[in-house]
Amino acid sequence: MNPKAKTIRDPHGYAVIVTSAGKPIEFDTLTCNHCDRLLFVSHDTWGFCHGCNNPICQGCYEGLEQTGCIPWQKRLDLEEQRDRLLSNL
Amino acid sequence: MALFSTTMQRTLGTGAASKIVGSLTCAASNPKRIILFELEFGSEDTPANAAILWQIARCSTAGTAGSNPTPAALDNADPIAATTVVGQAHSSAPTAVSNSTLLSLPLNQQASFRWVAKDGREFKQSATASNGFTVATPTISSGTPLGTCTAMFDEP
Repeated sequence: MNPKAKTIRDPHGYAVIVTSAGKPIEFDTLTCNHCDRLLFVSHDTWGFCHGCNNPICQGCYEGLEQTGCIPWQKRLDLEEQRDRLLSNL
Repeated sequence: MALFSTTMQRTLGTGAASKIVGSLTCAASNPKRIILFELEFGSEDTPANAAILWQIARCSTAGTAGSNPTPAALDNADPIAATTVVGQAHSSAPTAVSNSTLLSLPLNQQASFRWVAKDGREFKQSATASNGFTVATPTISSGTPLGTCTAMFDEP
């Protein structure tokens, strides 16, 4: 990823901070596809997972070898499946 | 699919419970997913030069809230009420999920923050009873200002 990039072509969100002087500072944001963490394009370091073809945060990128690619949407489904199983016991 | 908005407010603090501005948790029975697509927060107190650390994180219990605001439907023609439980001004903090901070943002007391997610890129919580999100201020450089967070969410 270009460390100097302030914006990207297809951001996952938009954030704005209105400072105490009343000046708005705008950001493109990304959402980590593995843990849902919010990333600011211009300030955070992020990686890319070739398993799900999506940006991921630095923490998930560094742990990729151990954990593998488990997108957050898949984790939600697994969690709900486990919860339904436990409630049926 | 129903869209809701809710506001959580309290006098900010940094203690275990007093740092919790608010929480959004799935209902204890028949929970639904929470899809958080917009957040705004800041302090409406008398302007002062203090630094506040705002954090959004996941929780596995709802804790004990001082009050439970009722989420407002964005479409008032929608007859379905929200099942998500909103809490504010907790006396007992929700149980935090480790390594689950979604946003950690230091902000001047006089500044405000707004985030809007693109479709499909929201903060998502599985339909697991009493699991959800907390809004907290674990660090404040000085004073105990009033703080507010507005959250908009979808219950698919």
